[in-house]
Amino acid sequence: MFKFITQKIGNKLMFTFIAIIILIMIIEMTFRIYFGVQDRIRIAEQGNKEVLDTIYAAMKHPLTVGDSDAIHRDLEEIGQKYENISVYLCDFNGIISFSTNKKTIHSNIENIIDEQKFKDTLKVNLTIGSEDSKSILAKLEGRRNLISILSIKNAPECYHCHGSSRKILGALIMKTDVEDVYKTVTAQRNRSLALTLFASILAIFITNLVVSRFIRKPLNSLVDATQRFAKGEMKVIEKYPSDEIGKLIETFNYMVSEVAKSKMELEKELTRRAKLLEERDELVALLQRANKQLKELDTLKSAFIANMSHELRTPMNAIIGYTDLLIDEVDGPLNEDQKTSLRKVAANARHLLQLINDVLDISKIESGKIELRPKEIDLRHLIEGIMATFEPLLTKKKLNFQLNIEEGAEKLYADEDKTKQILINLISNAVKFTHEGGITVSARVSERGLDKDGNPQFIEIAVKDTGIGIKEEDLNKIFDKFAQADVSTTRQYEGTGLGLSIVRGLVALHKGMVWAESEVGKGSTFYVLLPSKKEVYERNAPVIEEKMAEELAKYFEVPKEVFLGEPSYEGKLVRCWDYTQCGHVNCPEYGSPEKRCWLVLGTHCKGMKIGAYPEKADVCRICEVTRDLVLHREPLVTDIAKPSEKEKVVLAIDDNPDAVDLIKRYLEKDYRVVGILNSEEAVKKAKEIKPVAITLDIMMPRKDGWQVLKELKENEETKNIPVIIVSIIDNKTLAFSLGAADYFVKPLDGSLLLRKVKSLEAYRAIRQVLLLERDEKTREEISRILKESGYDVLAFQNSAEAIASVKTRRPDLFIVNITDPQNSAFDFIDYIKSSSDLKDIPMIALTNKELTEREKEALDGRIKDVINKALFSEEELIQELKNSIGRVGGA
Amino acid sequence: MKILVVDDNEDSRELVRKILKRQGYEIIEAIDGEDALAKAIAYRPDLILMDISIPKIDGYEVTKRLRERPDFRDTPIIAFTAHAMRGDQEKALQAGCNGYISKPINVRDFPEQIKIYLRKT
Repeated sequence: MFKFITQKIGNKLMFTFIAIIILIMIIEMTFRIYFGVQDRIRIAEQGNKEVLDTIYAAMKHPLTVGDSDAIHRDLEEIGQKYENISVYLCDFNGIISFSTNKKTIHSNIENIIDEQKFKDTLKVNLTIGSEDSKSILAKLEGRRNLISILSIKNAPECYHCHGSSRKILGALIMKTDVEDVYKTVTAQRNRSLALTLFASILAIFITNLVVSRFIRKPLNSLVDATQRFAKGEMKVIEKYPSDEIGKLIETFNYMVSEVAKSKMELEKELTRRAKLLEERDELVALLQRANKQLKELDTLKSAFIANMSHELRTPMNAIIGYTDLLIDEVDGPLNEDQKTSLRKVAANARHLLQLINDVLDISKIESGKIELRPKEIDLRHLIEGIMATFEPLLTKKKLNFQLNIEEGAEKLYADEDKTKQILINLISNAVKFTHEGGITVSARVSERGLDKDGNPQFIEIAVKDTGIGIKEEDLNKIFDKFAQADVSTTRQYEGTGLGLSIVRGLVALHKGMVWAESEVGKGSTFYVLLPSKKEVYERNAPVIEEKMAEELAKYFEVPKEVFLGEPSYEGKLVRCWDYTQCGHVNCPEYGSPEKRCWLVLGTHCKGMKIGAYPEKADVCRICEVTRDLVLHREPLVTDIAKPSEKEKVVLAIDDNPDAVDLIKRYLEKDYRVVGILNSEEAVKKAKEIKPVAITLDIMMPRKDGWQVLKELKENEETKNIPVIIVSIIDNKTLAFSLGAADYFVKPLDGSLLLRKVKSLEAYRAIRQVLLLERDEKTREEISRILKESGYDVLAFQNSAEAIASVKTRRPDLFIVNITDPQNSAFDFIDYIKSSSDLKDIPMIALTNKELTEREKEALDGRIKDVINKALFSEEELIQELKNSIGRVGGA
Repeated sequence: MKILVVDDNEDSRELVRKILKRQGYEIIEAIDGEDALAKAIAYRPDLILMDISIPKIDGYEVTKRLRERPDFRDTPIIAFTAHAMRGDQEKALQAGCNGYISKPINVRDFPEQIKIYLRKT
């Protein structure tokens, strides 16, 4: 109950109101009851007294005179008149002398009114007497009576009957039945009480209504809404008053809508996040799948290598075995010629076997299938063991051999078999290419690749020969697969061309490096760095030493500090400087999780051109971060020097450095090739170097070849440079429509490319144009346009004039209208055909109609381009002609 | 001296036979794993040349099973295979082979290699 009140403001208010009303009611009734009765009694007393006085006054005379009849008569009258009043006159003994009720005469008053208080008061009045009348309220026979007593004193006029001794003669007693008065008062009181009660209930009811309507209801709805809000229901309260509670609800509504808004945003955000997470999970799953597939592929590849190894070597066993048996004349004697032939078979079979072994080695290195088992190796012991197998060959070639191992360089920490393979490869190369003099193998403690305390941890082994040497420009290539210094060497010196690739791969596995120095005719030295400390394998952090930083600083013309410590580029820390994974697919280390410094240990990376390191240090062209490291150098340009005026430059755009390199090799006899790997820089570079031609790959990241071609053709400065598309995809139609000069599908035919570039260049040399057109208007129009474009134009209206002209002059291009019968263009064409001097000049044919088969045949091989005039408006014709001149450059 | 040549390639078998017959060895040939087990037990050769990639039961398994028999505990078994991966050699030795000759063989050195293994045991 108490709780019920304290929990609600409405109830509290209600309770207070009710309490106040009840209190007021109680006070009011108490007053009413108490004072109401008192007042009545006082009024009744007063009335009684007056009546008594009146009666006494009326009886005084008869009493004095002793007229008892008159008294009887008066009292009787009173008795008749007032039913509720009884009047008694008694003597001093209390014996009633007169009464309104005659029956009571002579009885003692005390017997009539048997009430103690009355008796006491009467006694006092009869003995002592009192001036005034006394009233007593007494209950007689269940009814309330007001009894007034008046003492009748002995007065001189009464002495005659009563004598003078007595002071009091008797008393006049009037008994008034006030029960009815009481009843009236009670009824009145009850009515008033009922009214009050009713009013109170009404007041409570109205209060309740008011409290409910204005306080409880809005508060309840607010409380409800708040509770619902707490549970997450975002509902505003629609109806509310304009008072303070209303303001409160309004604020609440505002809060709810704000919270709902942000909740909605939050939910949206959460959904977005969930979606992102989902997507991420999907991607992760995808990657995991891809990873798994890659691993499966890898396993397949390994199995394939193993199988290939087995399958290739099995027949080799029979070939070599039987040939040797034949040579050994097991199956009977042979003549010298047969023996010589069989020896060649055997030698080639062994060469093939070596090739197979090398290819397998390479694939093992590339697929990461080689696991090193490094241990401590005694270098002298190892090299002496190797040299024993070369002994016969050295003796035969009369070459001397020296081994110098410096103090401290005796021990390697490497894989013994692999080290042996590395050294055998290098030494057999040295022996192979040396005809006089000798081979020196030396070893010393390397000052490269020091640990962070400056202690050496690599041994530098040098294999020096006095052989034919290697050209400077070839030093870069010799570590590539199938790259002997030049083709003629391959013929002369048998070899697989894989030996140095294998060496590089194996050295890279040891975290070492390999490079070469050479002078043609004097000999070569191959250097190998191999670890002498176990720690080299345990640590992934690279070793950068001062000396290398100096070399690089010199090469890149930046302070050496750039290469030490933690270099940053454009505010970003270049992590790649410390550790990088090789991203080159051709790199044996590709895909390996190992991170190494590209500078010190990045011998695996093709882009390093490590053969010439460090004097020709170049960055890995594939790795963008390392590219950035070259700081202010032009990025991704294979040849950054500005071409001289006289030099003819071809710009090769291809994201694959190998492809650029190939084009370079094809064209290098006559052109300087500037390669760029970033297609986004194509237009800028073209403007800068003004190449005679551009080769353009199509499938490139960032910006594809089509886009580059479009941009080149839209740019005023570059639109006249012929562009040759060199791509793996074949879409000539699109290429020509975009203005390409020619299209080569990879694999590229080098000599064809060279010829093409040459003929394109020839087109650029077009100065003089011979125009054969009968229609004067067309002739003049074309002449004018060509002249405006800077050509020297010889315009003729018939063949005879044209023929006469070419007898003395040699234009660079013919434009001939072949379908106008009257100008007999074919006479002119036949003349050109027959002239050895003129037949190579390109020709553009103008026609008015589709050519007949015969005409086409006659033109076969002669015409470089045909323009059907009927298909173009005059303006378009001129444009088409210009384009055609562009195309005609092609062979 | 009896030598069991296990090889599924006929040319290979014949080559070995030709070379070793000249040295005076008696040659028994087996063409697969089951054949090898049967012939080994039947003929009790002094040396076994065991190709690894052979049908039915591979060379490792044949070697293992033979090594389980007391009478083949000491017979030299030479792995004879065109597999040239590093792991192959080790697997062969683990299976119980005494040595490893990889194909293609060197016709001139081959008899000497065989002699060494025969002498060793």
